[in-house]
Amino acid sequence: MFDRFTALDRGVWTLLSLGLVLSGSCLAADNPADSRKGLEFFESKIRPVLIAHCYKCHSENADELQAGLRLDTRDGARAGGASGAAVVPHDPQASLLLSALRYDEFEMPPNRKLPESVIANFEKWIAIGAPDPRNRRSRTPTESDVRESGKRFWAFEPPRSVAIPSVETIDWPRSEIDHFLLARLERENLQPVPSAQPHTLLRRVYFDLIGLPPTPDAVERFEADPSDEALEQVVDRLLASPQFGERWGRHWLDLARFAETNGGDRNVIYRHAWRYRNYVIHAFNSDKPFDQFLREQIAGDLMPADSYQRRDERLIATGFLTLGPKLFMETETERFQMDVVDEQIDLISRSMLGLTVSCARCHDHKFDPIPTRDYYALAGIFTSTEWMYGTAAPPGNKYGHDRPLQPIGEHAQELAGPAEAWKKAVADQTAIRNTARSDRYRVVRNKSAHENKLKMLSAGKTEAAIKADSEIQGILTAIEEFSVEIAEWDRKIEGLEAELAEIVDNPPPFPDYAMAVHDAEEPVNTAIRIRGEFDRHGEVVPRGFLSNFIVGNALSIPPGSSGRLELVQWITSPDHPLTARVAVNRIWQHLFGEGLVRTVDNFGANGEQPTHPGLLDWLALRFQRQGWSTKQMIREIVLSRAYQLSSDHDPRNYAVDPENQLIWRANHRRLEAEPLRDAILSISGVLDPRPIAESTIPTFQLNELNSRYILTPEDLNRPWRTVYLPLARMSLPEMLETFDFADPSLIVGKRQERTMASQQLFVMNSPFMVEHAQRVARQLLDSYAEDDERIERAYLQFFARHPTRIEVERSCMYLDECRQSTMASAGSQVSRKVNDEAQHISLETYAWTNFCQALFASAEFRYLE
Amino acid sequence: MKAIPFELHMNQFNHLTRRDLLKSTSGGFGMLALAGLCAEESFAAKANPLSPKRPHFAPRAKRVIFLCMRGGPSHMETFDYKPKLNADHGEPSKRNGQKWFGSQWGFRQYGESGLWVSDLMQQTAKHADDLCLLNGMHCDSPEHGAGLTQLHTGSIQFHRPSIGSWVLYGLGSQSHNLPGFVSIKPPVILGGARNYSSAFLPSIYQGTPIGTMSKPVKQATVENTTNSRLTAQAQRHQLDFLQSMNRDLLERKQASPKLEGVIESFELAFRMQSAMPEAMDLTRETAATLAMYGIADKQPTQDFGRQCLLARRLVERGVRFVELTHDNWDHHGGVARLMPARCQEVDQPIAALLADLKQRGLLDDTLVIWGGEFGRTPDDPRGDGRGHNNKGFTMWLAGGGVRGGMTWGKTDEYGDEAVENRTHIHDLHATVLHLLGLDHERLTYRYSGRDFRLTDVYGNVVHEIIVQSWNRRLTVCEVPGSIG
Repeated sequence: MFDRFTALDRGVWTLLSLGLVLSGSCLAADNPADSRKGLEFFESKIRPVLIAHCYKCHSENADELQAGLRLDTRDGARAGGASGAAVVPHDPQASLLLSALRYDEFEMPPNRKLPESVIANFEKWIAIGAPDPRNRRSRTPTESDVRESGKRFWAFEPPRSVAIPSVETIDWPRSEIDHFLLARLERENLQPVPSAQPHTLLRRVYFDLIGLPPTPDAVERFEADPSDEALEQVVDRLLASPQFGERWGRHWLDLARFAETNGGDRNVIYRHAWRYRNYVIHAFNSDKPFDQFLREQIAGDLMPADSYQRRDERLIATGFLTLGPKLFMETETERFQMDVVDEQIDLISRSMLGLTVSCARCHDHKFDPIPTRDYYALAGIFTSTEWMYGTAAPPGNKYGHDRPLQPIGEHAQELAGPAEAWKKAVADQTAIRNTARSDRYRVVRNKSAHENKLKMLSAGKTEAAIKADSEIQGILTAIEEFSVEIAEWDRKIEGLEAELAEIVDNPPPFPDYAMAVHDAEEPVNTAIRIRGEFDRHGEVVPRGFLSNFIVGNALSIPPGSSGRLELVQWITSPDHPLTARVAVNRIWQHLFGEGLVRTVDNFGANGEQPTHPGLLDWLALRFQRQGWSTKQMIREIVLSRAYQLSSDHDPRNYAVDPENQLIWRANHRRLEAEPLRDAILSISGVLDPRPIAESTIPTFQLNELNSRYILTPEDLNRPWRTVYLPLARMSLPEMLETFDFADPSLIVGKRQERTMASQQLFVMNSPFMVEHAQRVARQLLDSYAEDDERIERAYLQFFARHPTRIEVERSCMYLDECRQSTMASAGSQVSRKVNDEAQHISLETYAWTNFCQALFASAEFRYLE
Repeated sequence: MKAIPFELHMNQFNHLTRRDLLKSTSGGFGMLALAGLCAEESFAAKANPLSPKRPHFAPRAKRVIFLCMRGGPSHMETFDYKPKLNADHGEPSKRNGQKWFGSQWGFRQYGESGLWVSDLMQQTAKHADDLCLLNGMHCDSPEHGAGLTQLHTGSIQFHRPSIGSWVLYGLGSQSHNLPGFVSIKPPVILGGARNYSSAFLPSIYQGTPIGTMSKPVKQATVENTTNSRLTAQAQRHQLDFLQSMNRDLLERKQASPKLEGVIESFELAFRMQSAMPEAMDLTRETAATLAMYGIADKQPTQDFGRQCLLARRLVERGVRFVELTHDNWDHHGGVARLMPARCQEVDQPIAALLADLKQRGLLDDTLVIWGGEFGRTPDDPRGDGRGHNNKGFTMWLAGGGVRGGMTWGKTDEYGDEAVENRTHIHDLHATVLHLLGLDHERLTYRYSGRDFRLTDVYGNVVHEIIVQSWNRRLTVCEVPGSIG
């Protein structure tokens, strides 16, 4: 056989065996990371080739299936066709597929042999066991397939109560969480690294819980007493502080794609969206039970309330459903409606259930047990809901899909009527005035047309001739009459203007408003749209939930209601397999940098498997038992030993688990845009910590951002906590955009973490960084006499630790360098910039500003260890 | 040094070696830079998602300049000759109350190919033998926002990555000192940033905007590339101090790709500070070049001329995808006045760009795309303006392996609807990717549980307009990427 190999083949073999040696350890099947690698290999190297070259004749969609061989499913490939098994895992020689690709017995694909590199990939793939995620019998599962597969998949079974695993190192765990993690590490023969230094831990806890750095005092206090009790006190204090909700509320706002403008095609300002933001912050601060939090956002308007405050809070919560980007210029009303509904289904399913239900808009979900029918059962709930996003509110443009706002406040009912009547009166009176204006203008144009004609006819004619000309005389009379008519209109319009002013100047007291939803007067089921096309109606399906996720206490939807209340009852049911798991996994991610399920928004078959399934279930059940208390869950996790590990390197652990999936150390995490900005403002002493309870987007003549009406840097650069800055879609503050703030048009469970030159340019050159570095420099100069003291203080402020002796020396050297280079080059042309500055601020401020800016720019400041 | 041995060498030691490189005294960065130069396609590709990547098959074009005519230029006044429409000018059209509205400008044939081009585009027409007119274009929406986002992202409704981001994702960048995807004077409305956004692709593939549509490009800058208070030397000192802290931390933490990334990124940023202003500094061009592009005060051509020249400078420096926006082609009235004005602004600069690329040997592998979000209607009640027409319009391609001097596709005799060899925006996208060596069905990104493509589930490559060379088309390269 060997002689049949060409030189090229041998080359492939050499590379191949080398590849296997180099990557062998990564492809062992039982490690989760490794099997993923195998699947990635399949997805990148194997599946595309199968699709491009084989499916035409060997798949469900083949016009005529050839040789009875199906290559579009795993089972099909392994069972093979008429000639035998196409793929025999681990045995390339026995796999007919490979021999066909090599043109040995069969010649496939028939038109042309695939390149050797591709064939080598197939060989490698089979040799490592032919990992293949296509475990369904058919690419388009039938309903019974779907139901059956739904029953098997881990995430679609309710969380199971599991025994706390026992561990060998019994004095390591502090909590049950630690038992789960350590047991797993021990099974892999890994040892967790030691705990973090007290100052590292304190900085981590501060940023994780409230998004702000600890003060130097807090650092020194904790270093003096870093006991477990002291840590507990710190944690409890932070959990109780109002900054906690500003930090954790923001996590939810990422998912809620919260923004104060529409984005979409017309960037209409949502003047009242801030109420939803503050509702979320308050919910986290008051530790509102998380299930109730979800219920209020979907069906708050349908829940009973014992006071107007409670009622308003719940109305505001439903703003969740209405905040999404919309296409107001869409001319097809039905398409507009179905697009908004889709956005809401996507929102709810991904944020609360970790499912991509929207995939089922056009066809049955390809991977999860969600038939299109279920999508439209859900859609009916939202087509039976009316949205009050308030584009109809003045001042504003007119769109085809305008909707009013929800009046709120103690006297909402009494005030709303007169307020609406007044708005209508203003609109009506304006219309009357405008009609009068255009009527007048018509006469003006008529008159000027006659005047032109007059000029033409009388050109070159004597006065006598003009007098004798009957046509000219007729025109003259007409002009006279027009003038009278115009004067009449002027009088009339004057009166109309006065009437309008009278109305405009005397508005009634207004109620407050919120974005919200309410049920349609006649809730109705909606039809399946064939291939997702809004106007191709199929069967009408009863409103309902996902049929493959049966929970114990689900209610059926009464005819007179949209079904939102019943929907959220189903979502928050204690035996719903997903809701609690998805929620605790998100909390985990915010504290560890990665979730136990890393695809936090997708728990479906295409998502990742949990690294610690037992722990995930244990946490989910505990979360529910503790009344869905977010604060308790956070407290429990933060006080575990696992959370408090250092981020130190360990070569042995690293060799086995480089991605730290088993949590043998703390992840090195970057501060997101808000804690980064808030920390800078806080250290420079300008942070205004007060909550903002109003719209901070300026008022424009039109209620819309566009090329003329924009947010200026002044609007965006207020000294508030970042969560309160005006948040307009497609117009994010530069710093937030640069540092990977969540795009508010998207549902974001996990922020991107880019490392880009533009970020470094921002910290090196932006006026923002210079300004704040200079503020800190001045404080240091004013408060401390010696360089050593200043450096000490700066390290405490920026890094929550004391500098080492070497660091102090190096800092001193750099400061001296700044001073000397300025002195040396004084007067020279090159240093004009420096000298300009030196005239305004002292040499010392210049040097210390450079120093502080470098500290702000440093990785240690911008990352959490 | 050859790329492959180096890659093997690096693989054996995984990235502890990288750390050691970085750690090893002050020469660490020199070493890294050397490594990058020696093996940019293999070694660096693992660390830097912007490093050049091999395409799916041999490419015809390596870079793209997209001349985006915002507002929807009239094809009847530019590149789609409609004698029948002119003959029937003033007659009732097929739509109620509308009259056929012929072009007020003559058309002539140009070049050996004899392409018909309007008198408003006489200078561009001199390159007729390089132009491939796509006269049968159509898209899904007659509305500006939806049309423009479809032109850029394929989707009229959803937030999807822009074509420039897809290209960068597929091919990486050839520039060490500049961003790989640049959009000059992008609109702030009509989708705004969405038109150069990476959406769910890693945001490193996002376009870098230079200026905005409403301001002259002369005033445009890239944010934060200049320091108002430090000399270059003083900033280098500050950076050295800062990097020493970063390297300390790296030493304490070890094996941290994130930190290594930060350290490298600071050096790139430092280089960009000189590279970006240098690339944008048109005073370095000769007087003859400036004159060719029509860049002189008060000339109607000066703003778009600057954009075109800037585009040439950027692609010369390795930028993969450059887009220029020219506003405003939305002529609901005053066609007689506005069309000559708009055409005058772009005609000479476009001709200069094509000539310049050609004389520098860049046109062969630079794809130039011209067009707007849609075209205009051939009728109007008053014979003054034109409405939006997404059912038939013209775009053209030049260079980058496209056959010149040809017309592909056709509208009906009035220019109302594409009737022959219709080319949808998805087809254009598929073709552009194909020219770049990317299979639009294989250039996918997994997001929210499924694989996304620029062309969604649509798009057919228009092979007929590509310079044929079957060997090249069928050469299959492996996409780099390792499972080890």
